[in-house]
Amino acid sequence: MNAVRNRVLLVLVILAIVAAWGLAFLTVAPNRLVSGTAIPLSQVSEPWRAVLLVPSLVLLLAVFLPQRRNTHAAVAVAATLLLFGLVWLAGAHAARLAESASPITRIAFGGGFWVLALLAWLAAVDAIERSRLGPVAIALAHFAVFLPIAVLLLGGELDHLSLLKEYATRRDVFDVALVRHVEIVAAALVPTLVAGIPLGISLFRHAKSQASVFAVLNVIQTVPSIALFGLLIAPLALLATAIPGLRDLGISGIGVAPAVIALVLYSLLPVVRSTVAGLVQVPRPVVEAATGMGLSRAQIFRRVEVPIALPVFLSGVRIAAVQAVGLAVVAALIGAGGLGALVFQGLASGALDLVLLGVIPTVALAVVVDAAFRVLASSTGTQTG
Amino acid sequence: MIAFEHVGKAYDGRVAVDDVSLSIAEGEFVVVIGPSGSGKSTMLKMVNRLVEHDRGRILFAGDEIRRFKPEALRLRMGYAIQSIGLIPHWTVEQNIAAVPELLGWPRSRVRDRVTELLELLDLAPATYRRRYPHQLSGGQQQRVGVARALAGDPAILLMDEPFGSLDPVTRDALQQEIARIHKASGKTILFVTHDIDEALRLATRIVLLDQGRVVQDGTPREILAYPAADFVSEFVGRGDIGLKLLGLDTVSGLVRRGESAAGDAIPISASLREALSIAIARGVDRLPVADDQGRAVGAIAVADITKPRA
Repeated sequence: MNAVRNRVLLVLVILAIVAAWGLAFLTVAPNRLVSGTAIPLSQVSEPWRAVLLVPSLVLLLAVFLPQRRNTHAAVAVAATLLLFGLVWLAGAHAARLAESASPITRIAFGGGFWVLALLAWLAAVDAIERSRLGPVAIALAHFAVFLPIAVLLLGGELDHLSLLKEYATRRDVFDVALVRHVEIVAAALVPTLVAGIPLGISLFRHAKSQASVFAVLNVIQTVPSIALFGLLIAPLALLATAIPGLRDLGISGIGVAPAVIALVLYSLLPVVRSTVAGLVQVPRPVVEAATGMGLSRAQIFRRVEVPIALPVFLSGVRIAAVQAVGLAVVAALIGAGGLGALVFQGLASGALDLVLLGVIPTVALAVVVDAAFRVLASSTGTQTG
Repeated sequence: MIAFEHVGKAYDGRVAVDDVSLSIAEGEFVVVIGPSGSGKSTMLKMVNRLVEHDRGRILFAGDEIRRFKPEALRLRMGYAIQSIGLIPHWTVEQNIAAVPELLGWPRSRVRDRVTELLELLDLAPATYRRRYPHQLSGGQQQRVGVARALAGDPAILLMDEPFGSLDPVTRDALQQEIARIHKASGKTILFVTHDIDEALRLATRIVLLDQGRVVQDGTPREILAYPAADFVSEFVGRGDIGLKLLGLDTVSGLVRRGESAAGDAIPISASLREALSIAIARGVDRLPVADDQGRAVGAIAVADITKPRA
């Protein structure tokens, strides 16, 4: 057992071997509505399967190597290549099958592909996190893992896969949905920050009112999102009929307005809580010393308390933003649009590819938002500690 | 410099400082000492208005402190506390420079002041200027804390148990440092501690506080030789008052010049207490004495140390 230097990687490799032999790599269906027949990895383009073999062997070898920086780098590169190889192989095989099939034939990723891709990605993530790089370098490395896939995507190598066919037929809808999704999240975060930061600061200064305000925010947080969206329909509809001008501004019982209001309500708790938590953890002796030195209340707030509170505050905003990206999917149910619209359309018509077309960009968006705030938070917090 | 006139302070009806009158002259090193809860820290914080007094008057350079804006008052007083309170995301230089900058000193003068203070406190400027507080040891942080308190060339230094959390060796070094700075600069210092040895070592004048009232106010010698109440002798340690008295004098007064004794010489700047302790440890009744350069000066006899003096 001493020979094994990296147990996480060992588990990933074993699972990958099981998935490679046990699950379908691709599925082929005569059209988008029926379920397809499985193509295992062993039947995929015989000579080219070697592109998976080399990085796989590197990963297997790394399990038994001393865990140094070089090993982590090799694992990260091999896992990235493996991920690239999986996607490329799927794309290439789909293109070969498409030559002899009817245009409505759907060639989709199978369970084996998803599991293998996930395992390769996890191996890369694990190696990057172990590498002890700086926070910015780590964020960049996480992006670099997906860079080769982006190249394949833009180069048209994957166009014969059903997911891309789905995208091709719905490109306009997709682009609108993506922009709308980002708009909803941004439209919710701005008022959340404008209201949440002053609320947090005043709660910090008047600690007695903290309990009651947080109780209210907690209750909002526990209301299921669907219910909250629903609850907002009636009052907004009434409001829109009572005040004629509102409807022209786009405010009504359904659509973007209730979605944004609900997201603001959900985002308030993490933002307010992290504002308070950030300020509370500023050491009292530091504030007392600064006061004793002769800094004014405003100077202490700006030059001492805010910089110390910033990393904690930003982590709260990060949680609010990632949460909003996810919740905005549900907002499609009340007609707000966004990527959720694709998901629910796909669910309603039983088209898995359409669901994925909504889900994958949502996940990617959440990951990007998360990484961006992590970098921001760590770059503000490096000097304390 | 500072005068308390019948000053009182209560927190929610609990009296912390009760009718204290005290006048501190320029250049004095006044140590306020007392058990915890005696009001000593409150007394100090009332001077720079971190705590507002509710009765009596406090004068700073002849003016009631309430006549000043609190920030303006604090800029003229150095302030150092036990937990140091260095601003964690500021470098050593930024911490020290803050008050001079607030006072509007030109940039080059601020820079020179930082260099001067780091040298004064035995921190190589080139090495420590750009460090952050968490990169320093506890003793070094406290040195920066003292440097910061001195930075604006304040009229008075307020120190609230500044060395309370340091290990004995570091505390000893910093006590020496602050005594040297007091001697060299002639700054008025108001210093709060609960450590009687620290008080005896540093103070030109000790104010003993109990339950918010001044129990005794005098030189270290007066406090030891003529305790005003049972509380005082108990607080200073009844059992070794004599030894503490010996600790106040150096060998130089009792040395028999020209005489000699066997063994390693003790320095002439050693206290009588140290001399007695060394003699007992060596089992001898005479010790040779040398000056600061190590040249033999004479000898000191145990009999002279223990002989009753007026």
